[in-house]
Amino acid sequence: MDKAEFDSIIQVSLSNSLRSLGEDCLSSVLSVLGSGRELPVESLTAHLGEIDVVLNELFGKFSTIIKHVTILQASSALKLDPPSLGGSLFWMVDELRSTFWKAKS
Amino acid sequence: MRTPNLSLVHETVSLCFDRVLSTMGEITKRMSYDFLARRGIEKQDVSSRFGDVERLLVELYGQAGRSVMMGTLARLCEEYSIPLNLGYSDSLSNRMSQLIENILMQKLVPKSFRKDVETRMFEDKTGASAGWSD
Repeated sequence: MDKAEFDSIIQVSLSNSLRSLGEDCLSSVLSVLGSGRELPVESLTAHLGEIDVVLNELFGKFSTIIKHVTILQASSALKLDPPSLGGSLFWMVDELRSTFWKAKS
Repeated sequence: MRTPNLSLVHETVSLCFDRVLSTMGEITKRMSYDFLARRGIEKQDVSSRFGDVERLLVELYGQAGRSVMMGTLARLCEEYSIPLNLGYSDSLSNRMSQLIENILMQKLVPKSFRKDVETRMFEDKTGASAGWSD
């Protein structure tokens, strides 16, 4: 499994979490990220830093739960123990990526 | 060790639900429980009335309220070391039913329960307090 597959698992986990809230939630996030123009769902992982801000703005304190669900799903798909659950999706993905590479090497 | 049964699954779902609500702070947690209790749903009913709890939290918080149920499912899967795969079902309530069926069929035991049993066994055997317990 390489970087592209890791990114794909994060993208699928995040889009599944948002879709489960309601189909329009994923569209809303993609639209905010694209400044009004809906981005393709595949580009989600390229905007992880901004997604933290967008989720916090759109969902307030519920954003933490959405981030945790995303990380728990991704960890399970990668067959890794989840990182400690915090408030930043960016940093949790970073920690998971580091665990992933350590497990691979 | 106690065999996995439905009441243990229900207890674990309640525990997971409580942990998710805790991430939003004590006031939100208390308000959510009060709101559910006023609608006839007690803490221990979360698992058996998962769909009703979801509907009420969406009524209370809007679509974001559904994230509490997603978080509960995610933590339940973490407890039983099974994949969440939200895409496998058309609703969170159906996914919960599938997961419970899976847990009972495979006779799975949650991590927190295993830890309790190991702690009790260690303490009974050695007469000393287990260093990893509170």
